[in-house]
Amino acid sequence: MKPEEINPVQNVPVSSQEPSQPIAEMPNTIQNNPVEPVATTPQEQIKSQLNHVQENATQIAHDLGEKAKNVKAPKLKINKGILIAGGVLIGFLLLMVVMLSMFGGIPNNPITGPIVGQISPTPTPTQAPVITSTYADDEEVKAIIESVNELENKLNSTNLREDTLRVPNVDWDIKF
Amino acid sequence: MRKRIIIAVTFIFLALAFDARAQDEIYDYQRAYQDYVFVFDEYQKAHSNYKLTRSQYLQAKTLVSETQAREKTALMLQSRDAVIVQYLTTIRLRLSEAPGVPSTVKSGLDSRLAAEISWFENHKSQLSSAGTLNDLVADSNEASEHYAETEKLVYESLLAVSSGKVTILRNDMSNILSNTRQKVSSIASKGDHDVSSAGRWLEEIDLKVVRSLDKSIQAESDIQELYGKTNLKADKRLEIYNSANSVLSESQSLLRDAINYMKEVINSIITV
Repeated sequence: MKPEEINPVQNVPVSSQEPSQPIAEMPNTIQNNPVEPVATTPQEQIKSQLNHVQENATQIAHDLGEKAKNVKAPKLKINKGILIAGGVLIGFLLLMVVMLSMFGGIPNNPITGPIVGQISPTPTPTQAPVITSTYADDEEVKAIIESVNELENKLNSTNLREDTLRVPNVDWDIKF
Repeated sequence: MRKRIIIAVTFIFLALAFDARAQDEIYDYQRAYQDYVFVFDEYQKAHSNYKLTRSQYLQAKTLVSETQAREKTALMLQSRDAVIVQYLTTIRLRLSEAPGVPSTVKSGLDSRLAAEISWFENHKSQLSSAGTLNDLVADSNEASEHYAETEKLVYESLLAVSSGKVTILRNDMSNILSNTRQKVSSIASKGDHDVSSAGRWLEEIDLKVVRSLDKSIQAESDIQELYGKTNLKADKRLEIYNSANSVLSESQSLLRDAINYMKEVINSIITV
């Protein structure tokens, strides 16, 4: 029997024999984790709490991953008849398109539509050719044209109101 | 021979000198307007002095401040009358030079303007700094009441000048219409070009010219509303004047329509 060893730190005699009663099972999270130093300051306390939360989250994620592996996707049951009918319909439609393009109705060129950002010029209407009469060079007609243009200029340049002669703004309200 | 040349040159020189002097003495609308601007500037200075001495008197109420206020008020009132006199003179000259105004209208308005000018010149001469402040206030109120009637004449004269402008334009349009009608008739008689559409357009032009005349007459009638009511405030007088001017603008606008129609007539003549 070995002499009792005294733990120099705790001054508690340490027995070399294994205890007869098993140690109560501790939770995995705590048992698997290495022993952490005791937090004394508030910052250390908060830090230890955060570490516990992180450890819990990691464990939960691990458990979910294990569960997901066991989940199986449901099998889709497609009726073969419906599949065949759909394929025949699509084929018929394609054939119709080809027939129409070959014999008219749909232009060969694909419909592209206006390209965004590209502005097409406005088509200018083509005027019918003006045929002048024999009076286009008549001197009297030319004189009338000239007088009409002159009158139009006068109409546009004439200002009816005599704005320079507005009534004078004088003070008529004299009192003491 | 030499003597004749000297006499001729001397005569020509004297004629040119006389003409230049005559031009310097011509007092037209432009000269009158420049004088009006100058007189108005003088009034504004006198009015500023009046405001200053008035406030000093109202604060101090001393004999000295009252004397100062009386002198500056009298000067301001004289300057104000001078502004009205020069303004009416400017309008009178503008009216005399305005084309398109019938001579009877011109002479009637001219004599009434001359009477107003005389009244304000007389009023100005009666103003004196010897009177009391209350006398000056009474004189000012007298001029203010009289000016309410004078302003009606001013608006009537200004509208006559504007109406004359429209008359000139309408006369020009009527001449063009007459010439074009003759030409269209001549073409129609030859039978070598279809002018039926031109004839219809000419009828429309005639209607436009007639309506333009109606509008001008209506504007001249509307301005007479100034005299139908007494104690019209300044803003109401201006409103009546603006309304009459709007009607005159419609008259001008109808002539613009007539010009556009005339272009259609020409187009139908010169094209097949």
